[in-house]
Amino acid sequence: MTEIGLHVRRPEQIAFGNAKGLTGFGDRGAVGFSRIYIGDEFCPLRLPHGEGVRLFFRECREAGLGLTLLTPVMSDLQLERAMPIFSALFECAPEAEVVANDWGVFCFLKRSFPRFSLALGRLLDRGDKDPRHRETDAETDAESGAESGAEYSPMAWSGTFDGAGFVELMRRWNVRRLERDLPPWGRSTPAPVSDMGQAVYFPYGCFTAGRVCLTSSMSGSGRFAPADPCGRECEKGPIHLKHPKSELSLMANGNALYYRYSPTTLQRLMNAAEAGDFRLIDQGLSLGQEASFMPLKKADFGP
Amino acid sequence: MMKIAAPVADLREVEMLLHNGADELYCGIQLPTWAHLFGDTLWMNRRSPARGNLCDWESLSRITKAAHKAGARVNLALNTACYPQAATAHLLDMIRKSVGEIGVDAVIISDVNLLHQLATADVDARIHLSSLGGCFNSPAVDFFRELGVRRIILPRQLRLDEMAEIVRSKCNEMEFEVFALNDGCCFEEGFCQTAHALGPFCLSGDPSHPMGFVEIEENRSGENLARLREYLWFQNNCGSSFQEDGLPNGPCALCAFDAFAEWGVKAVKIVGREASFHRKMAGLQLVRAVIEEMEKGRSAAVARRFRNTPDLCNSGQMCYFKECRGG
Repeated sequence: MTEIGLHVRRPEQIAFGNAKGLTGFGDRGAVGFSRIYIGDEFCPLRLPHGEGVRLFFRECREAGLGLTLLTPVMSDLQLERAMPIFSALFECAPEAEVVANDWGVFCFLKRSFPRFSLALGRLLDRGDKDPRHRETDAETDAESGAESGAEYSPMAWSGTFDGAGFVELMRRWNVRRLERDLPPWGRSTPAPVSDMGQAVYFPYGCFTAGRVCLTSSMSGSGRFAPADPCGRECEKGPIHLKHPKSELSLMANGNALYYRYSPTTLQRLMNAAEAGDFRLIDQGLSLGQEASFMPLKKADFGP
Repeated sequence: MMKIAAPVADLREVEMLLHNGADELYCGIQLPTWAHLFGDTLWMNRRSPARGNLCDWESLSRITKAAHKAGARVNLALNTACYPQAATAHLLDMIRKSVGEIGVDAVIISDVNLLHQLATADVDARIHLSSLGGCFNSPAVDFFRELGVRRIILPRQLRLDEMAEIVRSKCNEMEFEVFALNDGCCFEEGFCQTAHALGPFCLSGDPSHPMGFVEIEENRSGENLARLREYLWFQNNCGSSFQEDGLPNGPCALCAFDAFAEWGVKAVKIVGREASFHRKMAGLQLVRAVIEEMEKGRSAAVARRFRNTPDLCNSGQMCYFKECRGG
């Protein structure tokens, strides 16, 4: 059975999430979380401070849960400011899990905290995740690609983590796990990677982000400039969007835009998770939605 | 003094670009065999095959010869963020031919897997990291240097102080190129996983529907949509507009040139392989004029006088780096 993580913003969400558990695994009923994710992949301002890390650690230890810190892209100054966070985590758990979404942050952590268990995050898994592609296009494309004898089907999604030699290189660099989204179409379960942990975020995939925060800037507190003063507009929850060329639900949260996996994709993911050996990371709470386990009822999966 | 890297997408532009002072030309190429093997939606680089790329080896060869004769260099963009595995061998062969037979001076790359393949393959190519590669801090410079990168094009969504920290601390071991003119990106292209082949996501839709979104949750947007529309307009070269004197409007870092030179920036980049002949020429003339003023010991702040668009400049929205505002 797959391990399940829950991404939270506040300590009290741990107990809430744990009480609910995750449904959607056939007749199994609710399944509990075994790991808590904190931090953020996209915005340095959403990292907890050092004392916050200690608090999360205590809460997780008491609940018998693992703890993982997500880190975003950071400038040199932002890295310097994040040192107390990393130091606090190291004091609590010298071999703690940390997810890097920036090659510089990865190198910095590898050098400064060599005992951390490092993973690569989804922002480093580059590829085409445009929600304007449609699942029906993927099927048609795969058929026509096979007929024409083309070497590659454009809709057969592959990202950086699928590159030849990439996993071997990461193994040499002591990367412990690769964390990724499912694309908005096409492949619905992660391709297996031997001797390397894998994790899949759900039920949202990120298709674009910026250092300029559109949510903050649109609210009037920013100037559409990176690292501007922030009114924490993102804490009010996501902004729901509708695009005529996308069949998927889209939303903006902070400086990132997301698609919600289709019911079919979600069902396939849950089926794979039940039989598979990878980690699922539930993001509902962290994105200001009701937790993913709330909408993940049978009716959400379709026929 | 800093070199000027100018975009070229057609053989007919070369003479104009070299005559107006381009020190480096950068281009892309999309060969018919690529579309045959990999389809129309996987571009060989980030720009449109139809408008932003050369379409045969002969053009690349003639551009390279003309540039070298004028003492300029040619850099070839193969900067798709992630190529499928099946493309790697094809790309390595292309790079061997471009560098070994045609004499291209450098290849511009962003895909970490391709960088890794190049580092381990028998290919003697000078490698520049595309801004899509996403170098946002000094430790990342070390990472990319170990993969064989000799020059890094810094992303547009870094702040000036962040770029200064990187360039000052690393310019002895790495060359840096920064954006000078044209084409903003409302997201960070190093994070963006939309497909330009479907049309730029951020610029799609009519002005009343920013980014093509027909619905943006009303209770959270309201009049602030106007701010987003304005931002997108500036990013899109002020609606692709020009001044009466022919100078192009659009995102710009000219006022920061003094700082770039002081830090040790090697080259400034004019964006716009897909731009018109006129925009390319006028943009290059503007950048060259500012560089010449600097060579005479004057400040790059003269750019504001050259531009003569105080309303646009004072808004701060036309600056890549908002800290430039006020010159």
